[in-house]
Amino acid sequence: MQHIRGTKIEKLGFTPHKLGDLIVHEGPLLAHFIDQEVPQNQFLYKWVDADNKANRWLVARITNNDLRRFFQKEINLRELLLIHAFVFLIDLDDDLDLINSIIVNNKNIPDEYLPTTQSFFDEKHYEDYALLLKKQVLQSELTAKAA
Amino acid sequence: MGLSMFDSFDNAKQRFLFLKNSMGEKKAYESLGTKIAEGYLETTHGVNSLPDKNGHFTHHPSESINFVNIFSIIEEKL
Repeated sequence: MQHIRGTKIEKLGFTPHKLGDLIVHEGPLLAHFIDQEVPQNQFLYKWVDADNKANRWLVARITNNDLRRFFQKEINLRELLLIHAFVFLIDLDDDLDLINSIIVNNKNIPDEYLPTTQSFFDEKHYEDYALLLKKQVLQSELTAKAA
Repeated sequence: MGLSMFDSFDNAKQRFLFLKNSMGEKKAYESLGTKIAEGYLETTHGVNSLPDKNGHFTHHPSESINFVNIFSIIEEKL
């Protein structure tokens, strides 16, 4: 796998808990996680690379508002993943053990790891979990406005 | 081993274009290939899952199947 310029870290600093898959093709390609200790902290895991030892995932922190903008097609998946200045790149082995993790400035992410600028939300191709998440995110926005 | 297939050319093309945009072009070509082939599967060729909403299904081939005789490439690069 490519060597990426970033800062090596021992731990992620949160306890990942998977809520569901948004894109699947012969395995998950985009998944939604929260921090088990602080559930309002949300993350998207995008599969970006693999070799015979590990799969590499790009982990981007997101908010409900970021998700709302994505589901309403104000931003595409590329913009959603790059919405904050830094992301994690993590390598997980077949047992899902963390074997390498770095924090990377968005500017140092190889373009081949990122979706294209045409990667807008498409209900037909996203998993049922994504449709449920969209409903929850839009509902929470309505509730917040009504309060 | 199961093989990813689609029930129509249009469904295969739409799904590939979606994955190309979502994964990034280079990774999509590396992972999924660059061509679409078409063929007619008969019951003796193996067992299929039911197609999902995108027309994708998994084909579990019988040991004797030779895909070269069944499939031909109909789209060179998407």
